[in-house]
Amino acid sequence: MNKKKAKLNKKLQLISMDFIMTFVIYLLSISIFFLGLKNLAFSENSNKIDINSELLFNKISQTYNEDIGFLKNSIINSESFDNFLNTDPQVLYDMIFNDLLIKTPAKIVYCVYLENKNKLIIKNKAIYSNFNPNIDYKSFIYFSENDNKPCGENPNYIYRNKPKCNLNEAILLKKPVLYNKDIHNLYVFVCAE
Amino acid sequence: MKKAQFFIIDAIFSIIILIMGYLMLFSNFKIENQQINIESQAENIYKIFSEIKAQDLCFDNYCNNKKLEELYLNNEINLNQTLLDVFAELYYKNKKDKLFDLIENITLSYDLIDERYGIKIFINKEEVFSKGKNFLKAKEKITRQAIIFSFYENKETGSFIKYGPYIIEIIIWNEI
Repeated sequence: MNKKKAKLNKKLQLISMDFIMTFVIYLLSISIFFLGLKNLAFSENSNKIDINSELLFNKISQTYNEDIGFLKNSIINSESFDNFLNTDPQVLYDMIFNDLLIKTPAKIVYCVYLENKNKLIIKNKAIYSNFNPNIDYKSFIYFSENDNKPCGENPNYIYRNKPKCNLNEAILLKKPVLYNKDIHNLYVFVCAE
Repeated sequence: MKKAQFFIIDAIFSIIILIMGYLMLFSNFKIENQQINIESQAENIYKIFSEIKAQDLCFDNYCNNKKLEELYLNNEINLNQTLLDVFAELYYKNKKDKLFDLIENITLSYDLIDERYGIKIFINKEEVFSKGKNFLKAKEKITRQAIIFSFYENKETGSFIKYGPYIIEIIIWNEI
């Protein structure tokens, strides 16, 4: 009787182990599947922001105010760029970044930053509209080094890592430009929800 | 009983690891979706080559791009022309190795080509630069073309030598 019980126990142990391993492998496969679909699955979201890169950079180039219109023919004017960095975010939003989207999300922030060939971010500026004065818009895009400083708080500080977004949607647009006798990359990081 | 205990402990560990994995996957930290589509990529690289002059990257005796500086100091190129004109000048002078090196240096050091895309550059249908493997398999290719006429000064004789017209073709495709 005891022998039969022992045999039964062994069988049950094997069966339960098989069951658990199957369950674990199944969960792992499902996770890998969804990880692989990560970028594709969310692209069907109807609320996803979609900004045409050419349109955005053309709007920046065609700014009517020459003091802050820093980009002409892929060339950045240093003086105008400094003026741009020192201009109020709401003013820049109204001048350049308004009307880029058919349906503007409730929260949207742009971080314009310039990266040199050594991958260092040498200039940065946040642009947003104060739709809701109770929301701290500038906190949505931040640099994780230097105590999570918001984009634009230190326009001339040098950062090594790209900024991060803590809202649901983020897209990064890039354009190579000439600045200070060298080719840099001008990025516009859009963070929205 | 001991075996059962071990199995249960293993299962608990794997469930903990899976839960940690799920939390990491679906956490609030968002990686940006880089929206450099193929048209933007082609337009970006074409504009840099056609709008930036070689002298824009140089001071009196040195350039920020070392390949360009080497060519300039050896009197192999004229700086007062766009990068596309510089490519055509090197092609005309049959310095195709230096042409390849220059294009490779500029595209790599300034990160002009996203790793998702391949690029070929042709001058008068002759391939002068290539980066990427899936040109033939690519379903979508974008082309930008320019016709180049230019000239350079022969510093020994003081005469101006014209070259061209050359058709420069830049083709971008999806590597993925």
